Amino acid sequence: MKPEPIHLGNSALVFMGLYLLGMIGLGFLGRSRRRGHSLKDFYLAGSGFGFIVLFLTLFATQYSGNTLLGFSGRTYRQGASYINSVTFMILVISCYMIYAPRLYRLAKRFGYITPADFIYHRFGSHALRVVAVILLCWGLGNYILEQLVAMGHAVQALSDGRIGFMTGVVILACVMLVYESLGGMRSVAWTDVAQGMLLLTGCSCILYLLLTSQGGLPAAAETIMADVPERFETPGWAGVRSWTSNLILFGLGIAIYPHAIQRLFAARTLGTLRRSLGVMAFMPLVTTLLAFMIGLIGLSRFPGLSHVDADKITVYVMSSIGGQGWISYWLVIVVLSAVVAAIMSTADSALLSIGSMVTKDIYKTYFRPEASPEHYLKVGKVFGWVLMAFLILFAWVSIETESSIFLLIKLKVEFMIQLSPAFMLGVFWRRLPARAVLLGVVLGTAFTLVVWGGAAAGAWETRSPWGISAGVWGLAINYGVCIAGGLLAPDPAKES
Amino acid sequence: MKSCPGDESHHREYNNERDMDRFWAEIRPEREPMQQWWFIPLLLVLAVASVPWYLPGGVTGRIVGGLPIWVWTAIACSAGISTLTAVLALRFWRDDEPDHEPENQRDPERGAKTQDEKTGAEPDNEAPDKTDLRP
Repeated sequence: MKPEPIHLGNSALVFMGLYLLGMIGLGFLGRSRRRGHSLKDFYLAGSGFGFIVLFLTLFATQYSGNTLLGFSGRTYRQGASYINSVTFMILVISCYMIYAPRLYRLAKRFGYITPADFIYHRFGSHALRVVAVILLCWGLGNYILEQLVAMGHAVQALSDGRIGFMTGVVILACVMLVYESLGGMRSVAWTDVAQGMLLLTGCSCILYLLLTSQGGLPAAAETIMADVPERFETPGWAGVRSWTSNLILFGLGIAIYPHAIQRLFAARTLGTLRRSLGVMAFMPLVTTLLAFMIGLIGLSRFPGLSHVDADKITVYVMSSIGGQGWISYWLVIVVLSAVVAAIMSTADSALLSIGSMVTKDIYKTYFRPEASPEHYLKVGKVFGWVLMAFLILFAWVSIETESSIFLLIKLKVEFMIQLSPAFMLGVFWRRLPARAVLLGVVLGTAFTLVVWGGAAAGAWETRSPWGISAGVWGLAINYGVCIAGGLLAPDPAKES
Repeated sequence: MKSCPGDESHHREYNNERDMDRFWAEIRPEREPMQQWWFIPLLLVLAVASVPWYLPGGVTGRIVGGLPIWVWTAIACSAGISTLTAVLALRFWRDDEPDHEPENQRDPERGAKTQDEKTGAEPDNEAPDKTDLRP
């Protein structure tokens, strides 16, 4: 049962317009507060974030459009067993507790700007650094692409379809590029503060609406038990393996997101970082759990949606609430704007991170080592605009053609997680040699690519052999190679 | 070794130096979560307990507050992992840098002036660091 289309009128467009103007204003403010033209100032805001800014930028960056749209859609399709999304989002912060204390200390003492700075410093391998940058940029590029598609859907919903999919994508992407080019990380983080507060407000509104309208979760449970009781059933052994695979893949993989690691570098003091991560550990119980509840309530109210429509379940649930008075109407506008804010705050951070890695780790290191900081910043900004133009074109082509080859663009976490041993083992185990890490990354990535490529080409059906994601199998190979390589390598402490 | 990162490396940018003895000498914070032997075992226990392996497939069980009990169990374990993580971050992660930044290094927009402004010097982000790591 598909719901009536949402009618939000002109007020939603005016609200959205004001929000976008505000974002550009924050871009100019970020530019006016810059301190010099260094890469560190542009890409890490001079490592000067206090608690509020750091927490909200971490929060807005970690929770993307995928959380409020994709997670609820997945819950709708999969049922109650997708509660594992809450656990793996918390595990991301737990994984930081393993390596972040050492990485943060090194970053402060040696002035890292990108995660690849650490990789080169620790392992001294140019090949490993380049492979790491390629994997991280590939993952982030796909991540941005996903956000662009989500942007198009969100703007269409907010404007009653008066603004087309691609128009919405181009407008939001341009606003993002403008404020990012103006002030770099400082602007991005300040817009994250606004977007994070909007997201928190939006989540609170959703919670209020869900608990107060149409009987809330208990009423939804009764309907689900009557119509689709299998969605409340425990998973079998295959489901348990898939659940465990998700915990490993996303818990370890999202902890390697470079834009999040750069926010650890950008903390002003250890105290601000510790407090921010301490609060972040509880945020999945607010945001991800809400997305889960939206999925279940959507399942009870709009059963039988297609795969594509299920991803719009947040919008449908909001539209079913929106017709119940002017307070609900405005709450729905705030919630949908929060979705847009979540999407933009994630995409801008990922774009800035790619720019920093291409500029600092590749261009500065291998092409123009002696150029001025202004030159590097210009290269980074131009690269950002070109990349965004390419990704917008790619988003359009992938939607128009719907070819199965575009399955490969979904490879994000599966690739980035292959760098996990470099961080998790690299900060503790001095014997771990660069060539073992490089071999592990190459084999783990190759395995993942073969499994995904075979599935895309139709050679086999699953991308998750035995219910476990190809990325996790690749990671197991990767860790195996690293541990074996470390045990076989001579002890560098004795040598030195 | 006891230097505060706020002063010597405030403007420093990593430039491909590699002094591995200093790298390993600098890497350990005063106190870190991994020093607690119970961290990883407890994390694993909570993560494993969140997965409903203890029930056969296809079972719903009692529904309380709109969710089956096994879902509440997963949520409770997740809340446990949150609490564990927050406790580790706030109590078992310490270092020799001050928790609060000294007044003279605060952002200008927050009231106090930076050291550069007090001395009248231009903030020179490209200035060579006193502790050059190049061999």
